[in-house]
Amino acid sequence: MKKIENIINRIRINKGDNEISEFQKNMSLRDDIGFDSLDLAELTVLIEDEYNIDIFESGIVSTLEEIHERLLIDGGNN
Amino acid sequence: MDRLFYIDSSRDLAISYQDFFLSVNSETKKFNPHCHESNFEDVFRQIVVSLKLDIPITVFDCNLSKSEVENLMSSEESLNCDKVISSEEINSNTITNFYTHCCNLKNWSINLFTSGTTAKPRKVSHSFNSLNRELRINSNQSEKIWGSAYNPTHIAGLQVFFQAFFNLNLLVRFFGLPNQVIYNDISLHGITNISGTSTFYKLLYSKDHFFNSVSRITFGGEKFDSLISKKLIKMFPNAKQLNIYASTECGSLFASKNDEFEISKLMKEFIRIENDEILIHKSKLGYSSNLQVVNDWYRTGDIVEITSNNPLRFKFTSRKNEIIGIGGYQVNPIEVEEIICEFEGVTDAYVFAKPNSVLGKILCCDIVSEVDISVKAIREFLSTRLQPYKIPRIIKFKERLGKTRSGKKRRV
Repeated sequence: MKKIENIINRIRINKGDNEISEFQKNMSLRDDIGFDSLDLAELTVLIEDEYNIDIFESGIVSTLEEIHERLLIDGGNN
Repeated sequence: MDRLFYIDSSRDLAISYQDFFLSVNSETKKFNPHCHESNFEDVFRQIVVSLKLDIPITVFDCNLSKSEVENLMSSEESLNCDKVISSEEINSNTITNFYTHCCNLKNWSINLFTSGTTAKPRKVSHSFNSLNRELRINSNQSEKIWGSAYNPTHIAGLQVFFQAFFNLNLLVRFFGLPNQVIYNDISLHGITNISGTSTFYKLLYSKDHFFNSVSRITFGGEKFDSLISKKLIKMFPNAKQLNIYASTECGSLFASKNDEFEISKLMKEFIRIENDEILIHKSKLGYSSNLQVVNDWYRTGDIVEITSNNPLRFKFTSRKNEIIGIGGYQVNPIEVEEIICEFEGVTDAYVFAKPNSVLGKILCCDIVSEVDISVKAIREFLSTRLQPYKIPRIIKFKERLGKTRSGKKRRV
């Protein structure tokens, strides 16, 4: 999960937002982390670069936990 | 109680028709024909005032930077609005008269901007009657409650606004709001009609939420997504779905229940397909000084696959030119490259799109620079000059860029 958190913070920093220091697994990507559709598009590319898995391919994921589940289901290993 | 006109839950804002008409009737003398407002209710008010006065209006996206607006304004002819023009006051009881007034306007037009094939966005003017083509103004519409996921400075947002306003319907802002706010609004206000792009619906979808009040879902602005269309049947079990083909140049042209469009007898003589590209007769276009019309026909750049010749049916497959569609918006890569190259040390830039499961496409950029630059610095610079969807999200630094055999940048 640490790698995913680093990716999320990288996106936030590049768009001028502060880093998130404490993540909760049920945090909503949109409502809690503040990601819009452009940020989510970037997130899926960066995660795919890291894990070779497109987390949004079979539908939208909404929380950190769902990203983790999608990576586990699709054979990711973080 | 007076009917509600507009709700923006992100700002705890609810405006009644009575208050809206009061503001319209009192602001006539301060009318500004160049509208660059960040609050949608101000955009609505300026548009209605311009209709009332029969004066053309130009609307700019609120997320356009000041320099982008100044650039676009420099090509604008100056509009004379000094003289005080008397006009009838409007209110809920006279809305039908006001609609008739709008259908008979002599001078009014609305100028919108769309990304052109050159670096500068193209201005397109529409008369009221060209926008009125698809409006349904009658007593059957009176109980509709609209959720609009469009910006009112875009043609789709404008049409949803007119559809709601002339029927005195409540219009609820969905554009750019968090899902939870939208879910609450649908339930609280009993939304009946939702209008948005495929990307909007993809992001809105939830397997845990169901809304019985919605009777119509309209898709527009980008390629129809049949996967999300199927999923929405569960989320909105009573909703009929409608897919609209519209563009800033033409307004709404065709509608369909899925991704296959059928040309009606009424439209048959105005549509041609040549080398798989849709051509539209000039009589169906808005006015723009730099729209290329050859022998009365406008080439849309939209490539289709014909599925039936009689009646003529087709599906959209791609765009012919290099304009990139990102989540329903049009991005001209040349415009973005020119601005990136203004950053100190940058010698060349190449903006392109890659397939993306969230937006359909994501904007990427390769940059050649003489000095070390951070992604954050480039992004900060671009955010002062460009709308968010025009800023590349995947930026890589290269020693040189790929070229085609004719020496052009390679666009995949």
